[in-house]
Amino acid sequence: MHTEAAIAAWRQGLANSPHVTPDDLEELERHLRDDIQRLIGEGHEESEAVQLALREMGDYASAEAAYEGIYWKKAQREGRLRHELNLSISMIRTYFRVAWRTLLKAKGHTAINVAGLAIAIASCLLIFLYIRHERAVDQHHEHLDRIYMVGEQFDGPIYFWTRGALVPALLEESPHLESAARIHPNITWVSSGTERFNEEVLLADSTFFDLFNIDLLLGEADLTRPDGLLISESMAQKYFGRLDVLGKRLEVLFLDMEVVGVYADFPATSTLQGGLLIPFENVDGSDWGRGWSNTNTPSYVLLRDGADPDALRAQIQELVERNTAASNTSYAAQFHLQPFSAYHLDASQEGMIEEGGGFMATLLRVLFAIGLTIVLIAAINFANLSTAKALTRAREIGVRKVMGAHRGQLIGQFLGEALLVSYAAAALGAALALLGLPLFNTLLDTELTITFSDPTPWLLLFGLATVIGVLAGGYPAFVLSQYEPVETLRGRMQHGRQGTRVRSGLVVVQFALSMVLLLGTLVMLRQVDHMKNQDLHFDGDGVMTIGISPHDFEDPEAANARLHTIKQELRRNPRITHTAMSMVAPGQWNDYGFTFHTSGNADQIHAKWTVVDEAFFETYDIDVIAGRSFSTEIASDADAVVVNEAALDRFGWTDHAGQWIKWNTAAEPTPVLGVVEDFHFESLEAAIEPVVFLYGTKEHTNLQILSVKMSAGPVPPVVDAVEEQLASIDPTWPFAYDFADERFEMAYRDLERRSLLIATFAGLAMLVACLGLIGLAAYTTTQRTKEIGVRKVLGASVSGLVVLLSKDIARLVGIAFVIAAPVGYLLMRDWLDGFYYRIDLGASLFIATGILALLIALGTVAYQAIKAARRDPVLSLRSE
Amino acid sequence: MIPKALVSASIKPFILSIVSEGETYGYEIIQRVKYLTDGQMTWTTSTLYPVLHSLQNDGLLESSWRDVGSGPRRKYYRLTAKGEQALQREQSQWLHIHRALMKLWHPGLAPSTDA
Repeated sequence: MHTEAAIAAWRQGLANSPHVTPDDLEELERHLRDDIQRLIGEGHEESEAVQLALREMGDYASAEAAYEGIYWKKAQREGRLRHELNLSISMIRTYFRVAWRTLLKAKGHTAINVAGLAIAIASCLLIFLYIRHERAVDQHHEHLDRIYMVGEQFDGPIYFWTRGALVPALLEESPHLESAARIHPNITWVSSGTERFNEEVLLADSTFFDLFNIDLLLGEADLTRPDGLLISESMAQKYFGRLDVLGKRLEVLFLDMEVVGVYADFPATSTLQGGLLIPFENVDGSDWGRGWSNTNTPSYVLLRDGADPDALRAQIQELVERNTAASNTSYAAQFHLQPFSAYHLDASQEGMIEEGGGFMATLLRVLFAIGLTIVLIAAINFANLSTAKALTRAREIGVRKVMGAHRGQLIGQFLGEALLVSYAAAALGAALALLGLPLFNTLLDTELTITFSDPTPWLLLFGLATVIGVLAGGYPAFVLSQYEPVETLRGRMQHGRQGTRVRSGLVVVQFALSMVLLLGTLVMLRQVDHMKNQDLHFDGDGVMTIGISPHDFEDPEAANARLHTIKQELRRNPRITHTAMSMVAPGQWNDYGFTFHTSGNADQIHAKWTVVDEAFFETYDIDVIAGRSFSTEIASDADAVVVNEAALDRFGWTDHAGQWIKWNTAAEPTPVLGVVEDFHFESLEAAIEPVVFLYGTKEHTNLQILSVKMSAGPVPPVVDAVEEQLASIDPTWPFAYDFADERFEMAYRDLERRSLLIATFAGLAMLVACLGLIGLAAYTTTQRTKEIGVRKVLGASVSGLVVLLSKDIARLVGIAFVIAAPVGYLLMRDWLDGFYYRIDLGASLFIATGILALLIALGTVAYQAIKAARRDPVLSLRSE
Repeated sequence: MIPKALVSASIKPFILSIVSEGETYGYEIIQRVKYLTDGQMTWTTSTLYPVLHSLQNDGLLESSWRDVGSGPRRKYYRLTAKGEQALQREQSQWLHIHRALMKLWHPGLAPSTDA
């Protein structure tokens, strides 16, 4: 009897497989019985023989798998494949139908899963679009892999402004080059008649087209004629209202130029941008733009096929050293060749690369990691909630098994449910992404789009949903389908300790990830705040700056004289306290550098230089800490300089008295009049550089920034007064102004934007994690309904029960914190290293992160806990 | 024990050879292989039956059911003419490999290929 029962049970297990036919089963049963007979014949007890024989038959899964292969082969041979496929499709449909009903039955659980996944998928989609956009920058040039930018490094970042004489010399001497071009981006005024506009233009060598691809619409790509220019499509529309403008004339900074070509606007993914392409010949012919000492010219080279960039780099080094006859050493420039293809991602700011990689590359890496993290958190929710929920479905699983459902069918059903949820989430996620896209674009200053003609985002969406569905749904599917019907029907599977441990582990992972993001957000926000509140050591409050170069006017000398008169006249306005002229304004990027001869130093030393008038330091309230500033009264000041503290340091001087600088060995020494305190010319991301201030007397025509400091009160009347005065030089001159402090704000805007972006995603990650926690808390309290009831009957208070129910969560958050704190510390320390002026990673930030995470977690579970604790114990006890 | 890959590779020649000795059934085949390999090779039902069925589908074997007293019937397998040819091919291939390995391991003893 015992033997027959065992064989019947074994038979039942295989009978459910759709791939094992009754004939197969009969053959196998005969086999089993033969084996039992033999074993009994060999002297085994009957029950022992049955056990041994069953073991030799192997497990169901491998038998099923083996017969499945045969089944399909046979089906194919007999032309039944089509029919079988139809059957399978209808089965899959059934899985989805059953899944749909199950999901509707558990609305709250389904909503949490769909919402969490949708947020994760939407975040991923947006992040993907952004990363793809940034990675596409500058990738459209045909010879991209051979284009390099020439960079110079003194003792800090690598700058991509180099000597104007380098490219012509290289073209003449270098065997490594196919071509090379200098490209000077500039903002200059352009006019087609009466009206003038300031435009971004590119002054470029005629070899520009050897290196870079432009989409020429009309005419020729020719920059060999000094008076011939190329115009972009949108500029042609702006100035002439049409595209066929070949032969038309434009006035560019008093040069009468002819349009020789029209090109399609540079794509948004191009770092080179300009409405006009103008021959480089029109750049200042002095050493400033053409010589060996000034480092003002961005230069690009195109290597020959197979040429070694290192050899070219060495040649450039040698060429510059030979031509500058630098006695060299400590502050001599080191030359670098930067692959143009990676420039956008590597650059820290425009024209500059700092050690440790660029902000863009870092940002993309961080965003990628965040996207992955959010998906991981959502997937963990999904798996956790599904297994938790499915435990309450143990009876259903048992009944299904008894009714003849085999394992594959159960897996199919659970996967069907999981996929249904993840596809629903993908659809909702796509909608969220579409809704969020405008905000995302504003935040990042991009114009990303999601269109139906671009399949990649949709494929990503589908792929992501499938992977999440299969992975997150697969785990519960495989675990649950393994249950033995007898156990599940007895309800024994409800409190699997191992399952609880896995779920707790996953919650810890989720919270650790969220905490790292939370910490990162707090650190970033505080760092931005720190920079915004940093003492700039100058006062730009109420200082309006106007870019106005004497060279903007037909007669620069006369315009300059008039400008200086206006500067004096403006001071008569009772609202205007100071006026000053300078070459650049604080907060503007100053790219003028020079390697000076200095007293007491055999080597030439690199420093930045700029030109200011006698009123500049006073206007910006910059302290002169030693010596004095320039004076109009002393004629010899025209050939003197003032330096900042950083320059004093770099030149190795303890005191300015008796020190001098020289522009070249033959020049007369220029005495140093005084020292001003270090102030932030540029952004706070970098240290204050050494600066040499030259005196811009009223004969000096390089002063192109007029600073006007006004007293407190309404701004427009002052602006009007200034505009009126300046219009007296030339009424057609385009008046524009901004404020010094706003420029600094601008410099931080990028950083602020990025921080806000990361804060947003960190918030979303936290939200998704909390959604999971809500679901899990609901499940846990349901599981403990009876226990809570008993405790209440025995006199437990509501608060005591809430504590009891929240204790576990608090413990998990604690463990997560222990993991997150060191990881967060290392990551954020690396990030802060990129800033010269940075906050300390003090304990307070970590404590704040821990407390915040704990409060969020407890707040999330509190509702469930309180609800359960307040429940009438009679109802709780009746529940099972 | 003999590795899985070798078991899989040799299963077809084993079955064809054993069935060529005379009509037989699955259980007997497994026992015979166990005996022939001194217990080094033990096939499970999942190893044997799928291959038996696929050989039958390919027309190398044919089968018939027979009653054996009480309980389920027993399925017997026979070699077909096509199966005979397949067996010869298998034999020649395995002998080639066998000879080649023998030449390497026992150069003096190796049977010559043209023998």
